[in-house]
Amino acid sequence: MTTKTEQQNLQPIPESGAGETAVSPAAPGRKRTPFKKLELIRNWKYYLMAAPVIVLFFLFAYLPLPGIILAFKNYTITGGIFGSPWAGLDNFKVFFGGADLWRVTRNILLLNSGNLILSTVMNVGGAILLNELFSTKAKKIYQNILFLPTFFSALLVAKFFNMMLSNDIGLINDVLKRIGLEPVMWYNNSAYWIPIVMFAMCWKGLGYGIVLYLAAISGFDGELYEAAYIDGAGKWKQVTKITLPLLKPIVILQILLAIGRIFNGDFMFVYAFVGDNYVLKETLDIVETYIFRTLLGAGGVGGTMDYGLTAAIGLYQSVLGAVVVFTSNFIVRRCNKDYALF
Amino acid sequence: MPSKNEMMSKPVRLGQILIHLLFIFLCLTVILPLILTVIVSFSSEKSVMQYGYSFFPAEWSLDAYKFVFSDNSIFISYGLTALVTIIGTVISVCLCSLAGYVISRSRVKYRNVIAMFLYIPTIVGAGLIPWYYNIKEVLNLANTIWVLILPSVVSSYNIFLIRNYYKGLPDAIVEAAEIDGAGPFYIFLRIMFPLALPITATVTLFVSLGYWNDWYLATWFIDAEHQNLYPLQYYLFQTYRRLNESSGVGGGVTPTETVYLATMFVTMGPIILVYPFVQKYFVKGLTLGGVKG
Repeated sequence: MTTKTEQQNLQPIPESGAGETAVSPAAPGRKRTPFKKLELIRNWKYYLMAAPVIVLFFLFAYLPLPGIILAFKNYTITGGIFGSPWAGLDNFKVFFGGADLWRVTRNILLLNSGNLILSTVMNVGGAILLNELFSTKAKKIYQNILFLPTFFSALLVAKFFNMMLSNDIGLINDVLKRIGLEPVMWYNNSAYWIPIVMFAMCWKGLGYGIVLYLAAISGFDGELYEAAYIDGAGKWKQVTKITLPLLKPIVILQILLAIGRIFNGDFMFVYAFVGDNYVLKETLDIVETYIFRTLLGAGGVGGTMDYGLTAAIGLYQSVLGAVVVFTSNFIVRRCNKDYALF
Repeated sequence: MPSKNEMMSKPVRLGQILIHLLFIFLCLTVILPLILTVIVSFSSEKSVMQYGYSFFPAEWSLDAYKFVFSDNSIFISYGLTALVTIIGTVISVCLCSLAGYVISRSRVKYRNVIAMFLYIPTIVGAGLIPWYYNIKEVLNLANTIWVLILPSVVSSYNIFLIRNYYKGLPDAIVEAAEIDGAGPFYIFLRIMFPLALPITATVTLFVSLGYWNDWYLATWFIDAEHQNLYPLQYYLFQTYRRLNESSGVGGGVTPTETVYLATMFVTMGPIILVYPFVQKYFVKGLTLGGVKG
C-alpha cells in the first residue's frame, strides 16, 4: 500500500493531470509553450472522454437539422434533400387546406393539457394523502404497488383498458348487462376516447408522480407543522398553508416542463390505443401518428413516402412547440425568475 | 408529530380509514388487470368469446401457450430484446457517465459549451421527419440492430442527472488524487465512478427499462421483411395485427384473445419478476435527482 503511493508520488506529473494548475516548477524538460496552454490540448483527456457523446449528439440531434428544408421541397428519391426541386409553400398549403390540421392539433392539445391538469392534481393529492398515513409500512406497500405501472409498456396499458371496455367481451359491459343496463359501445364512438386515454396516462404515471412529490414533502421541515398544530391549525389548514405553498416551485417546474412538450404527443402510448382503428382515429390521431400513417401507411394501406408533406406537418408542430416553450418561459421569468427554465 | 390525543380522535381515525380504502382501491387497479391477464391467457378461447373476460373462466386451456411457442419467433424476439437491452444499456451508461463527469469538472474550461450543445436539442429539435430521414437515408441504419440501439443511446436528461451527482461530490477527492499524480482516466475509473454508483444504478435501471419496453424505433425503422429484428413489444403489437387478420379470414379458428394475452404475459414476465428487487433503486433515484431536471 505504502510503496504504491510512494511510486505514484515519484512519477512525473502527467501531461494533462494537475500539472498546469498546480504549481510544478520542478518538472524538467517541460516548457510552457503557448501550444501547451491551449485548453483543448491541455485537457485533451477530458475532451476525449466526452467525445463519444458529442459525436452521437451530432449524428442524431444536429445532423437532421438540414432536413428541415424537406418541408419546402418536392421530394424525389434521385434528388435527395438538396437536389429535389423547391416546392415553395405547396406542402404547407396541402396540409393547411385539409381538415386534418385542426383535428390532430385539437387532439394533441386536449390530450396533453387534460393529462397535465388531471395528473398534477392526482399526483399532488395522492402524495399529500399518502403522507398523512400513520402506518409507514402501508405507505411503503401502496407506493411500491402504484409504482409498478411505470414499468408497463404502452401496449400493456392499452390492453388492460381494452379488457375493461371491449364492446362484446369487456368487463364493464358484462357488469352493465348483469344489472340490466344497456351496454356502452365504447369502440363505436370516438368521443369517449380522449378522456379514456387521458385517464390511462394518469393511471400509468400516478406512482411515479406520487413518489416524486412524496420525496419533496418528506423533506419539508417538521417544525413548521408542529408550530402550526400548536397554534391550532387543523390538517386542512396545514395542507393549504404549508404543504401546498412549499410544493409550489416543484409543481411549477413540472408543469413548465410539461407545457414545453404540450405539442409533443406520446406516440407509443397513443398508437397503442388507436392502432389502425379508423373510428378512434377521429379523436386519437395526434401529429406523430398522423405523420406516421401518412408517410409509412398502416394496416395494409401503403404510405405516400412523401417526405415533403410530412416534413411540413412536423415543422408546423416544431414551430408551435418552440413558441410555447419560449412564451411560457418568458411569462414565468417575468413573474418569478427562480422558476424559469432558462 | 400529532399528539396521542389527536391520533385517537374519531374524525382522524375515519380519515385514516378513508385514505387506506382509496389507496387499496388504486392498488387493486394495478394488480387486478395483471391477474386477469394471467387467468384469461390460461382459459379457452371459446369461453372468452362466449362469456367475455372473466376472473372465473368456464374452461381452462393451455392452447394459447401452445400456439405462442409453436414456432421459435418469440424466442428470437426475446434474444434480440435481451441483446439490445444489454448492449444499449452498457454503451449508454458508460458514455453518459463519462460526459456527465467531464461537464461536472470545473477545470474543464469548455464544459458549459458542451453542456449547451447537449441541452439545445431538448428545446428545439429538427422534428420527426428530418430525424427519420437522417437515420434511414443518411446514416443508413434502417433494418439493422443498431437502429434499435443508437438513436436512444445518449440522453441529455441522464447526462445532467449524472453531472449533478458528480457536482455534489467533494472537489477535494479529485484534487488530492491529482496531486498524487493520477490522470483523468484513472481518477474517473477508480475513484469517481465507484462513488457515483447510486446514480449510475438508477440510470442503468431506467435505461434498460426503456430498451426492454421500446417498440417506437422498430415501428419506424424495421419493415415486415426483417421479422427477426422485431423487439418483444413490437412482436406483441404485430401479433395483434396478425391475429386480427387471420381471425377475420378463418372465422375464429385461431385463438386470438388468449394468444395475445399469453404473449403479453410472456413479454412482461421478466419485468414482474425483477420488479421487487429493483424498485427501491428507482424510488431512490427519483429522490436523488428527479426533482430538479
